[in-house]
This record gives sequence, structure tokens and C-alpha cells, in this order.
Amino acid sequence: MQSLEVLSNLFTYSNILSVVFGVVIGLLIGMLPGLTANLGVALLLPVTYGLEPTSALLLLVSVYTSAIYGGSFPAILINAPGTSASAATALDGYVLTKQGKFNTAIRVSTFASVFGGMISGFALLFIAPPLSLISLKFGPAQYFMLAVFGLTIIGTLSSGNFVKGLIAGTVGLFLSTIGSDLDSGYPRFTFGFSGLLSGINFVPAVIGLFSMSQALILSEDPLKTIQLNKFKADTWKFLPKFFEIQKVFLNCCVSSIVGVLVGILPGAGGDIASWVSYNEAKRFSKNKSEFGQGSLKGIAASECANNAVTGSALIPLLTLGIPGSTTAAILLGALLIHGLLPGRELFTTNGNITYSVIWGFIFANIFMGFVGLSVAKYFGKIAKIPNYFLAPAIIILSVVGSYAIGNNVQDVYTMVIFGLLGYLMRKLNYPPAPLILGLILGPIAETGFRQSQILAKDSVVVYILNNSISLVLFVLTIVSILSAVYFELTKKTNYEKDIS
Amino acid sequence: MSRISLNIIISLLLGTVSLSLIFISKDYPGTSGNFPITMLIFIVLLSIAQIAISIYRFKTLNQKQFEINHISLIIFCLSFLTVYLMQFLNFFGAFLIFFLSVIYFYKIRNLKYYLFGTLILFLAIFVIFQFGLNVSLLNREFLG
Repeated sequence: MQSLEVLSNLFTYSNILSVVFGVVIGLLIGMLPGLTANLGVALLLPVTYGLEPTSALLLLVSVYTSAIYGGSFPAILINAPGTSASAATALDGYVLTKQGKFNTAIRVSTFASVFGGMISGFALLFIAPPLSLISLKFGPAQYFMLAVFGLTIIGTLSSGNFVKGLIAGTVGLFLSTIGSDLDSGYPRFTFGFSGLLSGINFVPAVIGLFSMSQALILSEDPLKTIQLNKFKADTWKFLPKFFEIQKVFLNCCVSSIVGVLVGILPGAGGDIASWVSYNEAKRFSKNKSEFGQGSLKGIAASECANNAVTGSALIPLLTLGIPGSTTAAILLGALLIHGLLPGRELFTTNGNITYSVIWGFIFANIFMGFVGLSVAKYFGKIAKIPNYFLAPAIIILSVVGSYAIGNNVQDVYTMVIFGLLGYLMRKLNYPPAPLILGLILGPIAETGFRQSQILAKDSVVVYILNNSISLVLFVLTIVSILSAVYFELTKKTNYEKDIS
Repeated sequence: MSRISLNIIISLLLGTVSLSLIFISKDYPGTSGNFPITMLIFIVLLSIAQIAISIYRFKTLNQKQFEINHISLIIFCLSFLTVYLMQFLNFFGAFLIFFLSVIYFYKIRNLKYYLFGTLILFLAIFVIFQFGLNVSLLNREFLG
């Protein structure tokens, strides 16, 4: 009965339109080198304000999954991964393109992406509801520790710059305290500006950090165009062949499990999953030498894993409110905008919305494959859109998008300022994702801490750690910090990259 | 300026600003200052850690100059100015100036692009926001 309700809720005119629009936009964004899934989701966040929660979330998750898939096109055809998650795909994909076998490469990457995306959708469907039961046992102390643990994700979101990531995250936490104090109503750090009393709206901040800053980066090389003469549109063969699927099927099964597991880990995104999966596929292959020489298994491993992350990254997000990737952090904001709080309620009171979104996500992955293969032959034209058109278009959309949030110019100024901040952060190798995470998790951490202070009879630290869930979260926090420090110390090359 | 020197300067700046904000928030009533003060203390400590890392790496690694592209900064200033002008010239007036200035700074000298680019972009935005999202681009600040 509930399934019928979910299906009737899912197949409405606006939901179908959201999936179609999301898939097409996501593919376009993924196909354009330099544009990322983060940018797409951030840019479309204000667009969802006027939509029903189901349609809004369907639009965003469709953009997310299809942008990751779309990134495989430039990786295979021009050796320029559209997203960082497709970097491993370029190793074998471009070799096949040089051999004139771009058809095969695209067909296999499409099959693998759809397969991985669907498996992650089912993982989300079956793992998230039972996991959400844990959230019922959460009180102020547990929520505080959860927020602290969420913030240690900063280490993994920082791509090697652990200290810079922590600085960005802590600044985000601090920025979340700007505005009237919820308890006393006292204005904090407003310096007389009445516009700051309600605090910093994180949606324009997200648009600025991810979209506006990207437009400024594209402006650095406005005349950049992509040379495409490797393939002709009229030689395009549409459907995947049986022997191609047979060759990579087992590989896809293993890679999707790897992708799902990596996605559940907070902070580990599609790029990590695709490299881990690629390396594992190579390690267990009988013919290791084919990897890097145009291996279909290599393409399948990378593409299957990065799309398998998209659904599983939503598992910690929907159940506990911890984003599994940078894009999931932006999606957390989308949930809050539509009045949906992560936890058990999402699967009970709001179950109709959540299950519709999960099923919609699975259908979006199938639809994405068909659209991807249909538009593949036009890739040449899409990829040739020059930066001098993209950059102003992104800026104008960012301005109108941030205005649409609350019909006030202050949000637009916030977006523009965060745009410059994001641009400077990128130039100085300060990752912008932790700042957003800090802005989102700040109020949760502060509320949990202050409520614990009130409830604690003696020491607040003793009160917070005096239960098993908080203790587990505390241990996980320590492990998360130590592992990030370990990676920082063992990967000196990252810092070398920073200054070179 | 070298990247490492800039790292040190930024960390010093962050640390100093955080310290001054700690003094401001000390006067906040009740517990409202506790959380921000804790965060500011963390920022100061992390800035010191970043300075230490930068000095440590300074001796062993080659330096590279830090450069910010001037076109990007011009585009940022233009964006800021456009948002300001939007309140007087309305959305379309302000963005017409913005778009034409941007492509001028991009050194595009193709008249076809000026005409068709502007037309397509404005039409798309108007259709998406006016009809798709019900955001009136002809009202309030957008009207001027």
C-alpha cells in the first residue's frame, strides 16, 4: 500500500519534469570541463525554492548523479575530466578514443555509470531506513558530538591540506554565530549592520563559493576553446553490445560495492572511490598490462564506482545529517530549506517524500543513460561553449538565483562577497567545502553544546561523554583526526603541489 | 609575492583578527559568547600551526610566485558594481552594461556575439525566472 502511495507521489508531472530537467542540466554541466556537480547543485538550489520538497530534491539528486556521469565524456573524448571523479576514466578512455574506439568507451562508461548509480540507489533504499533508527537515541550531547565528528570530515574534504581545511571549517563555524543569539537575542558580530541580525544565509554563500568563484576562475582564460577532431558524429553507435557488458559485468559488481562503501564514509567522494576501484580492478586482473592501454575494465571500474558514491553518500546525510561528499553537504542545506530534518522522521512522517526521492533517484540513473547516449554525438558542440560565454552566464544566474531566495539584494551582496572569498581560497589552496560544512553544522553544534551545559549537573564534558553513542562518536572523531594527520604527514606531495 | 610568504601573512592576519574578536565577544551576556570564543581560539591556534608549517617547508621547498589574474578581479568588481546599479537601472539595464563590459574585457570583438549572446542570455534568464520560478525580474530592486 505504501509502495503504491510512493509511486503515485513519484510519477507526477512536476516530479518527472524535475528528473528530466535535472538529468539534462547535470549532463551539460558534467560534460563541460571546469564545471562541477557542486556548481550545478549550488546554482540550482535557489531554483528549488518554489518547488514541492519531492520535486526539489529530485531535481538536485538528478543533477548530482548525471553531472558525475557527464564528466566521463570529456575524460574519454578529450582527456580532460569534466569532474575530478572521472580522472581515472581518462587513463583508458582517451587511449580508446585515440584508437578510434570512442563508441565502445562511451557505451561501457554509460553502462557502468547507470549500473553503479542504480546499485547505490538500492543501497540507499535498504541501508538508510534501519540506520536511521540510531538517530532516535540522540539527545543534545549526541548531537553535539555528531556535529564535532561531522566537522572532522574536514580532514578528508581538504584534499591533503588538513590545517587549511580545519581553518576554513572553523571560520565557517565562527561565521555561523554571526547574528542574533537564539537564547538571549543579543546581536553577535553584527557591528551595527541590521542586515546581519538574521545571520549569514548559507544558500547565497554556497552559490558564491562554488558558482561565482568558478566563474572567476573561468574568466582567467576566457578565450580557451577545446579542439575536437577525434571523432565524427555520424559514426555514432548507440546501444551497448552484449559482449561489452559481459566483459565488464563482474567488474561493475565489485566496483559498485567499493563505491557504495566509500560513499558511506563521511567525506570520501567519487574521486577516491574511482581511484580505489580502478586500482583494485587492476590488482585482481589477470592481464594487468591492459590497464592504461585502453582497458574496458578500467573505464567500468572508475565510472561504476564514482556513480555508486552518489547514492551512498546520501546514507549518512539522510540518517544522521553527516554529508558523505561535498555535494551532499550542499544537499543537506536543501533538506533544511524544505523543512526536512535528517533522521528517523525522514523515513516515517516524511517517508512519502524520502522514498519517492530514492526511487526517483534510481529512475534518474536509468534515464541518465538514455539521455547520455542520445546527446553523446553532440558532445563536440557542447564542449565548444567558450569560457567567455559560460563565465558571465554563471555570474548572471548566480545573481538572479541569490535574489530569488528572499527577494532582497543583501543576499546578492553576500553571494558576490563569498564568490571573491571562494576564488581567493582556491588560489591559496584553502578548500571551500569545509567552510560551508562549518556554516551548516555550526548551529547544530552550538545548540547541542548549550543544551548540554544546561542539562549537565557537574562537568559538561562528563555529561556529553557519559553515554555509549557519544563515546563511539568521540572515538570516531579521534580516528578521523589521526587518519587525516597521518595522510597529511605521509603525503608531502600535496604540499609540494600547493606551492608549485 | 611567494606563496609561502602569503600563507604566513594570511595566517598572521587571521590570528590578529580572531584575537581582536575574542576581546569583543568577552563582553557578550550569559553563555552567548562561549561558542564563538572557542572557535576563535581554535582559529588562532590553527593559524599558528599554519605559520609553523609554512616556515618549516620554507627551507626545503622551492617557492613559486602567487598571482591573481587581473581579469578575474575586474569581473568581480564589475559584478559588485552591477548589483549596486541594479537598484537604479533595473535588472536588464544593469546586466546589459555588465555583459557588454565583460566581453569587452575578454577582448571579444565579434559584433555577432555582442548581439546574439546578449539576446539569448537575457531571453533564457527571463523565461526561466519569470515563467519557471515566478521571480519577477521587473519588480522591486530589479525595477530600479
